[in-house]
Amino acid sequence: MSTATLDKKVPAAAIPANERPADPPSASRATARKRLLVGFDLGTNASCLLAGAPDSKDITVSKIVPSVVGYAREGLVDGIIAGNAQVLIGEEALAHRLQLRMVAPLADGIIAHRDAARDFIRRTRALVDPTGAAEIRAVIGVPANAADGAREDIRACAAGVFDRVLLIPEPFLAALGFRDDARVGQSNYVDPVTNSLFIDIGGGTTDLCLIQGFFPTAEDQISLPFAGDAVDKLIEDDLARLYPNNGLSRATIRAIKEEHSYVGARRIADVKVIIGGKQHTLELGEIIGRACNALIDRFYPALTTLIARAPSDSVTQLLENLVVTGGGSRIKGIDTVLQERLAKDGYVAPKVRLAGADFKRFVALGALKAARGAREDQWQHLLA
Amino acid sequence: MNAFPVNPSSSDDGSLQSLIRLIRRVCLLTEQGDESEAVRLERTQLAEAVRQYRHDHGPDALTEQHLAEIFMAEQRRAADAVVLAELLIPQLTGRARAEPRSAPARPADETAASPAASAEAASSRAPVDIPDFLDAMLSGEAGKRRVRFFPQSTTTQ
Repeated sequence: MSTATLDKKVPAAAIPANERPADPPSASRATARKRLLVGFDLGTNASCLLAGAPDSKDITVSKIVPSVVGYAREGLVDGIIAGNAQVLIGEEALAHRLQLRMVAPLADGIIAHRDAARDFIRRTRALVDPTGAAEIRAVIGVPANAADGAREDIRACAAGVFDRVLLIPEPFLAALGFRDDARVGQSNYVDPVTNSLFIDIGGGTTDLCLIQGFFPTAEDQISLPFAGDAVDKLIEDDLARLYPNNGLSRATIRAIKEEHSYVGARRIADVKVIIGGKQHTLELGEIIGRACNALIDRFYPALTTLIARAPSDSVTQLLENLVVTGGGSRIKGIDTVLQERLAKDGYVAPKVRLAGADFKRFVALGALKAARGAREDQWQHLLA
Repeated sequence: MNAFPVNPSSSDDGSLQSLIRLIRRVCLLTEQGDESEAVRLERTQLAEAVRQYRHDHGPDALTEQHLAEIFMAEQRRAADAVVLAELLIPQLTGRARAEPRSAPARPADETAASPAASAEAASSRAPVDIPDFLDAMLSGEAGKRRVRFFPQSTTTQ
């Protein structure tokens, strides 16, 4: 599946205060303005924005922006940052990290720093509408288990930036984004929005959610605080035990994991690393395999628990629509191992699919589809 | 004139074609915004393929200049392909919808043969309608109830 978008590398919005988009004009003036719809996946580590016109299926803007805001430190020499911008986001903030105070606006999927989140959202708007003249309506993904306070935080930060919003649970948006619209209605196609189970393996949490034509509630989902970061930690601990004082940073370990991660039977992984300025080749297959298999061991009981919660007459079809997404979907063999384990435990013809290379965009894509499908009266106004 | 083959079909060297395909994948991933996967591929498989090619054919067989030329050509291709996809896919999708479906009709008794088949048919006949879902979601937000959002069957459980 492809989002078929015209992608541009994220230049990440360096916007001096005097160039910021104007606050949205009042609703009475909004009718005269060009309207743009935005699908917004506000993520802990990275955010994705897709935008397009309401009466089209085209996607005119597609960007993935690291979710980080940088504020210029005091005493910075003029000209170090283009335009002497005081606030940068995304790649541009990361590029000037030495000159900036860096703030991650989100933690564990919800807003942790309101001011930074507001600055981040305001600047992402400028990526979609540099003139600041358009009426922007945004569907924003929220964690399915987000409390009222977390939802209110998003609304508060989006007020004065977007004209109207809708907050929709991320698992539903992921299913909507993953759905192949051209095949909906075909007899051999199971619509993921009506019957699927999504396993989203992120950095901090692994989230499993039943999507069965219902608004997902707490009983439809299980979130485990064990995911990519925990796998990194297991590898780090094993490395420290086998190779004391190896000096490898967490970032290096993550890069090694991303390249060599696998589950299932033991594989060889000869990894070249620089330790103390000298190159060494370490065989890390066992360490990496053990850590990745531990991940499956942790979420597998949650998977079977959710399958057991599905109505019995829907399970056969549900088992054909198990979808692994998030960064963890890149672990080699994860679909095969899960499928084999389910089959071994007696589940009938389980079929585990990987979201594929576009996994970072599914929530935003689903959000844009939802924005295009929403009725006028369903959009929510924001009080700035 | 470009002295180096940048079109795999014009080259009779299989390893060079593989190398160009890898470069194309890197360019496409970059074009699609998947920077980390592009970098990973470039640093692993592509680096190894270049090393192997130079080992097999000699260091002058693939100079940095040649490599840069291939990269530029593939970057142009990837950019063109993405633009084409953006332009064509909506049109093709719209055309496919406008045409009658060619899939064979399911026999009437087949859908009734098993609960699974019945469930499949039910879901495929009733794709979720987004406004209905939003209605259910907005009403569910107020009451925190489990609300079905299939079309024409909004119920509270």
